[in-house]
Amino acid sequence: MSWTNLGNITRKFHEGLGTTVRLNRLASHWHTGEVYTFDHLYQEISPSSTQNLALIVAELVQRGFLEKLVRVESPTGGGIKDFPSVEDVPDTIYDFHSDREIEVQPDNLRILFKVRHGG
Amino acid sequence: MNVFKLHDNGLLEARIYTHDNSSDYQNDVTKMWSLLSFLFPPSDFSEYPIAKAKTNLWTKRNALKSVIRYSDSVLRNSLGTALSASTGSEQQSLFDDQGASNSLDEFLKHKAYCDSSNIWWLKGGGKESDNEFEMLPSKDVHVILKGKLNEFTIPAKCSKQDFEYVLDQLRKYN
Repeated sequence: MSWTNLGNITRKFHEGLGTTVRLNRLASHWHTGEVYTFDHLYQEISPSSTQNLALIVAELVQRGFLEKLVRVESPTGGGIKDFPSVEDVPDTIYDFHSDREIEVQPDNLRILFKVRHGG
Repeated sequence: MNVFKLHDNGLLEARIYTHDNSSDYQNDVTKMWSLLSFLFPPSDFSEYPIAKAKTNLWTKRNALKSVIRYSDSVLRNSLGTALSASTGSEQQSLFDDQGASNSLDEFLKHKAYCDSSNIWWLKGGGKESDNEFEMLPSKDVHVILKGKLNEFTIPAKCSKQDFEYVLDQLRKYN
């Protein structure tokens, strides 16, 4: 998998050179297993719009650079378990951070993008 | 009451009333869009993220000591670790805690970003005046930077001038 240029993805969505450079720079320092929120990617890549970032991220997922996952987080802050989609998330889950079973609420879910292959 | 306000510069501001039992306002925003789409076609607008302001307000804190006070902040990194720091009381600021500030600064250097913050825009921080009635904001204004990229929350009532001051400041540091 080449990390030398992801410009073909950014160009597809009419992003400028700056976005391409920032995406390439970020990707060149990716390590397998790292996770990014959409907000974090937005701050790092600074695309022209959130809509365009959503398209770029979808393309990165589709091409296998990133994997989308849903993380259930403890009300105390730490992650509990990852799931491939919201449909796979159980209604209740054991929260090892607080040693109790919790009812999973929307506020406990976080969408993450996991690096599949490091740079 | 929910309000859509179109500014002269094209900025469309959506104000949603505060809920008591939920922090998710997406349904309210969607309903507002569907009610007012004949006036404001959603396709004519794009989101205005304030994500950079979250990090900038922290990193520029030394210049902002008389302008804002931090109650708590949550940072996240690419390993999925969350680092949270909170003051011991509402009146304290994380800026004055050297140990906590240094920890957050060090964490930010390693592929981290500011995910959410509780801040207070300090009374008079926007205007140097001895006149009580000319101060902006007119009182400390509590703002929660959390949720969607283009979302912030003011949990208590504030004047129109104070609200506009907060909005201007967030755009300035974005």
